[in-house]
Amino acid sequence: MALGDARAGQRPVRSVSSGVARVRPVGLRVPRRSQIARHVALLGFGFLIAFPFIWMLLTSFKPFEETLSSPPTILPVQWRPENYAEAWRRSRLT
Amino acid sequence: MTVGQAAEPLELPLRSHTMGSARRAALRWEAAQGYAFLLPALVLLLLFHLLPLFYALYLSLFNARVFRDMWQPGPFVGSGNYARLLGTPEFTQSLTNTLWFAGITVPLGLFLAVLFAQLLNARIWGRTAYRATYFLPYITSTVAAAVVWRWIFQPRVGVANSVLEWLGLPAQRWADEPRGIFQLFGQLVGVPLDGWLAGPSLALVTIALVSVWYSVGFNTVIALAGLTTIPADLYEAARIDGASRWHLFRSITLPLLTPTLLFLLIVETIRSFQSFDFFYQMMAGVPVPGAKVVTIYLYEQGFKSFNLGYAAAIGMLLFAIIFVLTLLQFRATRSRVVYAD
Repeated sequence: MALGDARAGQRPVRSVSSGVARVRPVGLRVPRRSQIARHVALLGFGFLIAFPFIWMLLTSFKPFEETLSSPPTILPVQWRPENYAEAWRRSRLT
Repeated sequence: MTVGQAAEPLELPLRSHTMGSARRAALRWEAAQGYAFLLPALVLLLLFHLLPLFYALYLSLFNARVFRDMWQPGPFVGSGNYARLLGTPEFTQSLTNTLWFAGITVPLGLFLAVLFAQLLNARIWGRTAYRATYFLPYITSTVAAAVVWRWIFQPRVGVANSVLEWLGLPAQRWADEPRGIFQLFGQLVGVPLDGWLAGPSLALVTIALVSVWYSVGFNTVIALAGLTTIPADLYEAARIDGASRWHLFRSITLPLLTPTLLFLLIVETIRSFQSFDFFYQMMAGVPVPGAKVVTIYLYEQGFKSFNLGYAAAIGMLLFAIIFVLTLLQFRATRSRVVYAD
């Protein structure tokens, strides 16, 4: 994961103009405008990839009847955290 | 391999004449040590990979159903199982399904991997969070993932159909839909498409999408590793020469990424041919004919009908197909692979 960082750090460029040797990372820098575009794309695909996890989390707080409602509710209308207690009890882990 | 190399000392050329017998004995002792270290891995490989492979080959020559004696599984039929296999429409249909599946997941998986790797290979805020999110599916249990996806694609209460409804499109049966996607699309615009033109079933495509979702994190990490091996000075030089971003990608990134892409191509092809779990779990034991791939057909024949010899023949044929495909890919891509140094 840190590969990119390490490589950027290894190749310092000294800007001569300022007189003082200043180390600046090179190579992976991106201009501001394309950074925003990149974030939009990453967030969009990230949402699609994370969607099953989000949906699982939201469903886990719905009472049984609400999970069968059509069209489905996005946020639980009625929050039911007791699902977790019940799942724990039924799994007989304790 | 590395163990064997480490056991050989550096003065190899001297070996033949000038070496004393004591030295040679020491060398041999070192080699023996090397093989001793390899032994556990070799034993495991033999016991759990090679022996089952050869036994499956043996089994495929018999009309084996339920049997007691391992070496007498039933009447010997020679190539009979194979001949029967190739004459069974259900098998050829399952092979077509597998080919469709590979044809969808491999290109889509590789394309997304390169795209995501390009997007993630930058110094941007929250990079670690993005990378973790993209890798998340790969470390999830496929059974748990399949249950959630089945819920999402559930025909009556699933959220996928709500999205379609919101977009003004007709609801679909997703993983339960035996009709082809081109046929369904044709219906939407009023063009009837049948037979070959119907395309792969929506059930197959749905499972292919879930499969791509699952493996894209792994592929992206591999592609990212490939990207970081490309020297930054190449990009700088090209930029000074006035290359556009597309040119940078086309003329530097893509050629230098070919070893990585070749690796991904082979791994993904093998994975797509072997894919079983999402098919088994998403269709809940009642496979739609249009999504019955070879592995599912093998499972049904072997472990539901107990036609073990016949199932072994399917397995051997699948093995042969994967083997030949992998060789062909090596061949076809060898001349196009560019290594950086």
